[in-house]
Amino acid sequence: MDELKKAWNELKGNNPSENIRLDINELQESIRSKSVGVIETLHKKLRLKTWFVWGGIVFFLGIIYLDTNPITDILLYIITVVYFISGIILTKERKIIKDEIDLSKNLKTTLETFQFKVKRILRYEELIGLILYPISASAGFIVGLNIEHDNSDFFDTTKGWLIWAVVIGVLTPLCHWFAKWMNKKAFGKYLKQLEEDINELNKQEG
Amino acid sequence: MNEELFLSKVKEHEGIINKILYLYVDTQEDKKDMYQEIVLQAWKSMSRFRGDSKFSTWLYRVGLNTVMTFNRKESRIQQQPLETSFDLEQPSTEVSDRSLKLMQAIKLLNDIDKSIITLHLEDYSHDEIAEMIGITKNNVTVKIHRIKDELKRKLQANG
Repeated sequence: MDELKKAWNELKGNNPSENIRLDINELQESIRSKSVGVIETLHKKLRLKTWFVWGGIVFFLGIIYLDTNPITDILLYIITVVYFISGIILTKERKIIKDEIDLSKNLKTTLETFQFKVKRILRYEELIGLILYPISASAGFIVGLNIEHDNSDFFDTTKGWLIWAVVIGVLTPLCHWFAKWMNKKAFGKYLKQLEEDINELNKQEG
Repeated sequence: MNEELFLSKVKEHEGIINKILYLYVDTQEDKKDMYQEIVLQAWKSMSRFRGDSKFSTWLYRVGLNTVMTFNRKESRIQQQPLETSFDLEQPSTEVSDRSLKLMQAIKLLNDIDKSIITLHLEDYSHDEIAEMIGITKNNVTVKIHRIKDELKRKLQANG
Protein backbone atom coordinates (compact mmCIF):
# COMPACT_ATOMS: atom_id res chain seq x y z
CA MET A 1 0.00 0.00 0.00
CA ASP A 2 2.27 2.75 -1.30
CA GLU A 3 -0.55 5.20 -0.84
CA LEU A 4 -0.34 4.67 2.88
CA LYS A 5 3.39 5.40 2.95
CA LYS A 6 2.85 8.44 0.79
CA ALA A 7 0.21 9.74 3.16
CA TRP A 8 2.41 9.06 6.17
CA ASN A 9 5.32 10.97 4.66
CA GLU A 10 3.04 13.75 3.54
CA LEU A 11 1.57 14.16 6.99
CA LYS A 12 4.74 13.95 9.00
CA GLY A 13 6.34 16.54 6.76
CA ASN A 14 3.45 18.94 6.92
CA ASN A 15 2.86 19.44 10.58
CA PRO A 16 5.97 21.23 11.79
CA SER A 17 3.99 23.56 14.04
CA GLU A 18 2.57 20.61 15.98
CA ASN A 19 5.94 19.01 16.57
CA ILE A 20 7.37 19.30 20.04
CA ARG A 21 10.85 20.76 20.06
CA LEU A 22 12.66 20.81 23.36
CA ASP A 23 15.90 22.69 23.77
CA ILE A 24 18.89 21.13 25.49
CA ASN A 25 17.95 22.62 28.87
CA GLU A 26 14.47 21.12 28.69
CA LEU A 27 15.93 17.78 27.65
CA GLN A 28 18.27 17.92 30.64
CA GLU A 29 15.26 18.60 32.85
CA SER A 30 13.52 15.60 31.32
CA ILE A 31 16.22 13.13 32.30
CA ARG A 32 16.16 14.49 35.85
CA SER A 33 12.39 14.42 36.15
CA LYS A 34 10.36 11.72 37.86
CA SER A 35 8.56 9.19 35.75
CA VAL A 36 4.84 8.66 36.16
CA GLY A 37 4.73 5.47 34.13
CA VAL A 38 3.23 2.33 35.62
CA ILE A 39 6.55 0.50 35.91
CA GLU A 40 8.25 3.37 37.70
CA THR A 41 5.26 3.84 39.99
CA LEU A 42 5.33 0.20 41.04
CA HIS A 43 9.06 0.37 41.53
CA LYS A 44 8.70 3.43 43.74
CA LYS A 45 6.13 1.62 45.84
CA LEU A 46 8.52 -1.29 46.29
CA ARG A 47 11.18 1.19 47.40
CA LEU A 48 8.76 2.58 49.98
CA LYS A 49 8.11 -0.96 51.18
CA THR A 50 11.85 -1.49 51.61
CA TRP A 51 12.16 1.68 53.66
CA PHE A 52 9.20 0.56 55.73
CA VAL A 53 11.03 -2.69 56.53
CA TRP A 54 14.23 -0.86 57.57
CA GLY A 55 12.14 1.61 59.56
CA GLY A 56 10.44 -1.36 61.25
CA ILE A 57 13.80 -2.69 62.40
CA VAL A 58 14.64 0.64 64.03
CA PHE A 59 11.19 0.68 65.64
CA PHE A 60 11.52 -2.84 67.08
CA LEU A 61 15.05 -2.19 68.31
CA GLY A 62 13.67 0.90 70.05
CA ILE A 63 11.01 -1.17 71.80
CA ILE A 64 13.61 -3.77 72.83
CA TYR A 65 15.71 -0.97 74.27
CA LEU A 66 12.77 0.49 76.21
CA ASP A 67 11.13 -2.76 77.30
CA THR A 68 12.70 -4.95 79.97
CA ASN A 69 10.49 -8.02 79.70
CA PRO A 70 12.77 -10.87 78.55
CA ILE A 71 9.99 -12.81 76.75
CA THR A 72 8.94 -9.72 74.79
CA ASP A 73 12.57 -9.03 73.99
CA ILE A 74 13.04 -12.55 72.60
CA LEU A 75 9.91 -12.21 70.45
CA LEU A 76 10.99 -8.79 69.21
CA TYR A 77 14.48 -10.09 68.41
CA ILE A 78 12.89 -12.81 66.29
CA ILE A 79 10.80 -10.19 64.46
CA THR A 80 13.83 -7.95 63.99
CA VAL A 81 15.90 -10.81 62.54
CA VAL A 82 13.06 -11.73 60.15
CA TYR A 83 12.70 -8.06 59.17
CA PHE A 84 16.44 -7.81 58.63
CA ILE A 85 16.52 -10.87 56.37
CA SER A 86 13.41 -9.63 54.54
CA GLY A 87 14.99 -6.19 54.14
CA ILE A 88 18.08 -7.68 52.53
CA ILE A 89 16.04 -9.92 50.21
CA LEU A 90 13.75 -7.03 49.27
CA THR A 91 16.66 -4.69 48.57
CA LYS A 92 18.36 -7.32 46.39
CA GLU A 93 15.14 -8.20 44.56
CA ARG A 94 14.47 -4.53 43.89
CA LYS A 95 17.92 -4.10 42.42
CA ILE A 96 17.43 -7.14 40.18
CA ILE A 97 14.03 -5.87 39.06
CA LYS A 98 15.45 -2.41 38.38
CA ASP A 99 18.30 -3.85 36.32
CA GLU A 100 15.84 -5.93 34.31
CA ILE A 101 13.57 -3.04 33.38
CA ASP A 102 14.62 -2.20 29.87
CA LEU A 103 12.07 -0.55 27.65
CA SER A 104 14.32 -0.98 24.65
CA LYS A 105 13.85 -4.75 24.86
CA ASN A 106 10.93 -6.98 24.00
CA LEU A 107 8.00 -5.31 25.70
CA LYS A 108 5.99 -8.42 26.45
CA THR A 109 8.89 -10.21 28.14
CA THR A 110 9.84 -7.09 30.11
CA LEU A 111 6.29 -6.60 31.38
CA GLU A 112 5.74 -10.28 32.18
CA THR A 113 9.00 -10.56 34.11
CA PHE A 114 8.34 -7.34 35.99
CA GLN A 115 4.79 -8.30 36.87
CA PHE A 116 5.84 -11.78 37.98
CA LYS A 117 8.55 -10.44 40.27
CA VAL A 118 6.45 -7.71 41.85
CA LYS A 119 3.66 -10.20 42.52
CA ARG A 120 6.18 -12.66 43.97
CA ILE A 121 7.52 -10.03 46.39
CA LEU A 122 4.01 -9.22 47.55
CA ARG A 123 3.15 -12.91 47.97
CA TYR A 124 6.30 -13.60 50.00
CA GLU A 125 5.65 -10.52 52.10
CA GLU A 126 2.16 -11.74 52.91
CA LEU A 127 3.45 -15.22 53.77
CA ILE A 128 6.22 -13.88 56.00
CA GLY A 129 3.62 -11.65 57.61
CA LEU A 130 1.51 -14.71 58.45
CA ILE A 131 4.45 -16.03 60.49
CA LEU A 132 5.20 -12.68 62.10
CA TYR A 133 1.69 -11.63 63.13
CA PRO A 134 1.33 -14.22 65.92
CA ILE A 135 4.82 -13.33 67.21
CA SER A 136 4.28 -9.58 67.11
CA ALA A 137 0.76 -9.92 68.50
CA SER A 138 2.15 -11.99 71.38
CA ALA A 139 4.86 -9.42 72.01
CA GLY A 140 2.29 -6.64 71.99
CA PHE A 141 0.02 -8.69 74.23
CA ILE A 142 2.74 -9.18 76.82
CA VAL A 143 3.82 -5.52 76.65
CA GLY A 144 0.17 -4.55 77.16
CA LEU A 145 -0.25 -6.93 80.09
CA ASN A 146 2.73 -5.53 81.92
CA ILE A 147 2.25 -1.91 81.11
CA GLU A 148 0.54 -1.03 84.38
CA HIS A 149 2.03 -3.61 86.72
CA ASP A 150 3.74 -6.99 86.62
CA ASN A 151 1.36 -9.69 85.31
CA SER A 152 3.90 -12.42 84.78
CA ASP A 153 1.57 -14.96 86.44
CA PHE A 154 -1.06 -14.41 83.70
CA PHE A 155 0.10 -17.49 81.79
CA ASP A 156 0.01 -19.69 84.85
CA THR A 157 -3.69 -20.33 84.24
CA THR A 158 -5.52 -22.04 81.36
CA LYS A 159 -7.76 -18.99 81.12
CA GLY A 160 -4.72 -16.81 80.42
CA TRP A 161 -3.55 -19.08 77.61
CA LEU A 162 -7.09 -19.20 76.21
CA ILE A 163 -7.35 -15.40 76.11
CA TRP A 164 -3.96 -15.25 74.43
CA ALA A 165 -5.05 -17.90 71.86
CA VAL A 166 -8.25 -15.98 71.06
CA VAL A 167 -6.33 -12.70 70.64
CA ILE A 168 -3.82 -14.36 68.30
CA GLY A 169 -6.59 -16.25 66.51
CA VAL A 170 -8.41 -13.01 65.78
CA LEU A 171 -5.43 -10.73 65.09
CA THR A 172 -3.51 -13.03 62.74
CA PRO A 173 -6.18 -13.36 60.02
CA LEU A 174 -7.18 -9.76 60.56
CA CYS A 175 -3.63 -8.49 60.02
CA HIS A 176 -3.22 -10.83 57.04
CA TRP A 177 -6.41 -9.50 55.49
CA PHE A 178 -5.32 -5.93 56.20
CA ALA A 179 -1.88 -6.50 54.62
CA LYS A 180 -3.51 -7.96 51.52
CA TRP A 181 -5.94 -5.04 51.37
CA MET A 182 -3.09 -2.54 51.72
CA ASN A 183 -1.14 -4.24 48.94
CA LYS A 184 -4.22 -4.30 46.75
CA LYS A 185 -4.81 -0.62 47.46
CA ALA A 186 -1.21 0.38 46.78
CA PHE A 187 -0.32 -1.99 43.92
CA GLY A 188 -3.64 -3.30 42.62
CA LYS A 189 -4.55 -0.79 39.95
CA TYR A 190 -1.00 -0.65 38.59
CA LEU A 191 -0.68 -4.43 38.46
CA LYS A 192 -4.06 -4.52 36.75
CA GLN A 193 -2.85 -2.10 34.14
CA LEU A 194 0.24 -4.24 33.58
CA GLU A 195 -2.03 -7.25 33.25
CA GLU A 196 -4.13 -5.42 30.66
CA ASP A 197 -1.03 -4.44 28.69
CA ILE A 198 0.25 -8.02 28.75
CA ASN A 199 -3.17 -9.36 27.76
CA GLU A 200 -3.28 -6.96 24.85
CA LEU A 201 0.15 -8.15 23.72
CA ASN A 202 -0.91 -11.78 24.17
CA LYS A 203 -4.04 -11.16 22.14
CA GLN A 204 -1.83 -9.95 19.32
CA GLU A 205 0.20 -13.15 19.58
CA GLY A 206 -2.91 -15.30 19.53
CA MET B 1 27.45 7.52 25.95
CA ASN B 2 27.62 10.62 28.12
CA GLU B 3 24.68 12.91 28.85
CA GLU B 4 25.71 15.58 26.37
CA LEU B 5 26.09 13.13 23.51
CA PHE B 6 22.84 11.39 24.42
CA LEU B 7 20.89 14.65 24.43
CA SER B 8 22.36 15.75 21.13
CA LYS B 9 21.42 12.37 19.64
CA VAL B 10 17.87 12.74 20.97
CA LYS B 11 17.69 16.21 19.50
CA GLU B 12 18.95 14.89 16.20
CA HIS B 13 16.26 12.19 16.18
CA GLU B 14 13.42 14.17 17.70
CA GLY B 15 11.40 13.53 14.54
CA ILE B 16 11.04 9.91 15.69
CA ILE B 17 9.55 10.97 19.01
CA ASN B 18 7.23 13.40 17.28
CA LYS B 19 5.96 10.65 14.96
CA ILE B 20 5.06 8.54 17.96
CA LEU B 21 3.42 11.49 19.70
CA TYR B 22 1.49 12.32 16.59
CA LEU B 23 -0.25 8.96 16.65
CA TYR B 24 -0.68 8.38 20.35
CA VAL B 25 -1.14 11.75 22.00
CA ASP B 26 -3.69 14.40 21.24
CA THR B 27 -2.93 17.69 22.94
CA GLN B 28 0.25 19.73 22.77
CA GLU B 29 0.59 19.74 26.55
CA ASP B 30 0.31 15.96 26.78
CA LYS B 31 2.69 15.60 23.88
CA LYS B 32 5.31 17.57 25.80
CA ASP B 33 4.79 15.42 28.90
CA MET B 34 5.09 12.25 26.90
CA TYR B 35 8.14 13.57 25.03
CA GLN B 36 9.87 14.10 28.39
CA GLU B 37 8.81 10.66 29.60
CA ILE B 38 10.28 9.05 26.48
CA VAL B 39 13.55 10.96 26.92
CA LEU B 40 13.68 9.92 30.58
CA GLN B 41 13.08 6.25 29.78
CA ALA B 42 15.60 6.37 26.96
CA TRP B 43 18.19 7.85 29.31
CA LYS B 44 17.49 5.15 31.89
CA SER B 45 17.91 2.43 29.26
CA MET B 46 20.93 4.09 27.70
CA SER B 47 23.47 2.12 29.72
CA ARG B 48 22.17 -1.04 28.04
CA PHE B 49 22.39 0.32 24.51
CA ARG B 50 25.19 -1.67 22.93
CA GLY B 51 24.92 -0.23 19.47
CA ASP B 52 23.67 -3.50 17.97
CA SER B 53 20.97 -1.51 16.26
CA LYS B 54 20.89 2.06 15.02
CA PHE B 55 20.19 4.71 17.66
CA SER B 56 17.05 5.69 15.76
CA THR B 57 15.71 2.11 15.86
CA TRP B 58 16.49 1.87 19.54
CA LEU B 59 14.84 5.21 20.29
CA TYR B 60 11.77 4.18 18.33
CA ARG B 61 11.50 1.02 20.39
CA VAL B 62 11.89 2.86 23.71
CA GLY B 63 9.37 5.46 22.58
CA LEU B 64 6.71 2.98 21.55
CA ASN B 65 7.20 0.86 24.66
CA THR B 66 7.00 3.94 26.86
CA VAL B 67 3.78 5.08 25.24
CA MET B 68 2.27 1.61 25.56
CA THR B 69 3.16 1.20 29.21
CA PHE B 70 2.33 4.73 30.25
CA ASN B 71 0.00 4.91 33.15
CA ARG B 72 -3.03 6.13 31.27
CA LYS B 73 -5.27 6.15 34.32
CA GLU B 74 -3.05 8.58 36.17
CA SER B 75 -2.33 10.65 33.17
CA ARG B 76 -4.17 13.41 31.49
CA ILE B 77 -3.53 11.50 28.31
CA GLN B 78 -6.79 9.92 27.39
CA GLN B 79 -7.88 7.85 24.48
CA GLN B 80 -10.30 10.28 22.91
CA PRO B 81 -12.66 9.73 20.05
CA LEU B 82 -10.79 10.62 16.93
CA GLU B 83 -13.13 13.30 15.71
CA THR B 84 -12.65 15.15 18.99
CA SER B 85 -8.90 15.00 18.77
CA PHE B 86 -8.90 16.29 15.25
CA ASP B 87 -11.11 19.13 16.30
CA LEU B 88 -8.53 20.07 18.86
CA GLU B 89 -5.71 20.28 16.41
CA GLN B 90 -6.39 20.84 12.80
CA PRO B 91 -3.40 19.74 10.73
CA SER B 92 -2.09 21.88 7.98
CA THR B 93 -4.41 22.40 5.06
CA GLU B 94 -1.57 21.42 2.76
CA VAL B 95 -2.20 17.82 3.70
CA SER B 96 -4.61 16.07 1.39
CA ASP B 97 -7.99 15.05 2.66
CA ARG B 98 -7.27 11.42 1.83
CA SER B 99 -4.07 11.46 3.87
CA LEU B 100 -5.92 12.92 6.82
CA LYS B 101 -8.56 10.22 6.60
CA LEU B 102 -5.85 7.61 6.43
CA MET B 103 -4.21 8.97 9.54
CA GLN B 104 -7.57 9.16 11.29
CA ALA B 105 -8.07 5.51 10.46
CA ILE B 106 -4.62 4.64 11.85
CA LYS B 107 -5.34 6.55 15.01
CA LEU B 108 -8.44 4.45 15.55
CA LEU B 109 -6.41 1.22 15.63
CA ASN B 110 -5.48 -0.32 18.96
CA ASP B 111 -2.07 0.56 20.41
CA ILE B 112 -0.27 -2.54 19.17
CA ASP B 113 -1.69 -2.42 15.65
CA LYS B 114 -0.86 1.27 15.54
CA SER B 115 2.74 0.49 16.49
CA ILE B 116 3.02 -2.28 13.94
CA ILE B 117 1.73 -0.21 11.05
CA THR B 118 3.78 2.82 12.09
CA LEU B 119 6.96 0.79 12.17
CA HIS B 120 6.04 -0.71 8.82
CA LEU B 121 5.50 2.77 7.39
CA GLU B 122 8.93 3.70 8.72
CA ASP B 123 10.36 0.84 6.66
CA TYR B 124 11.38 -1.40 9.54
CA SER B 125 11.72 -5.04 8.51
CA HIS B 126 9.26 -7.62 9.78
CA ASP B 127 12.06 -9.10 11.86
CA GLU B 128 12.74 -5.77 13.53
CA ILE B 129 9.04 -5.16 14.18
CA ALA B 130 8.67 -8.64 15.66
CA GLU B 131 11.60 -8.00 17.98
CA MET B 132 10.33 -4.59 19.06
CA ILE B 133 6.75 -5.61 19.74
CA GLY B 134 7.46 -9.09 21.02
CA ILE B 135 5.43 -11.15 18.60
CA THR B 136 6.55 -13.61 15.92
CA LYS B 137 7.62 -12.53 12.46
CA ASN B 138 4.78 -14.55 10.90
CA ASN B 139 2.33 -12.79 13.13
CA VAL B 140 3.73 -9.42 12.06
CA THR B 141 3.27 -10.35 8.40
CA VAL B 142 -0.31 -11.49 8.98
CA LYS B 143 -1.10 -8.43 11.05
CA ILE B 144 0.29 -5.93 8.57
CA HIS B 145 -1.80 -7.55 5.88
CA ARG B 146 -4.90 -7.44 8.06
CA ILE B 147 -4.32 -3.84 9.19
CA LYS B 148 -3.85 -2.70 5.60
CA ASP B 149 -7.11 -4.40 4.63
CA GLU B 150 -8.85 -2.75 7.56
CA LEU B 151 -7.49 0.66 6.61
CA LYS B 152 -8.55 0.18 3.00
CA ARG B 153 -12.03 -0.77 4.11
CA LYS B 154 -12.28 2.27 6.37
CA LEU B 155 -11.10 4.57 3.62
CA GLN B 156 -13.51 3.12 1.11
CA ALA B 157 -16.35 3.41 3.60
CA ASN B 158 -15.51 7.10 4.03
CA GLY B 159 -15.38 7.67 0.29
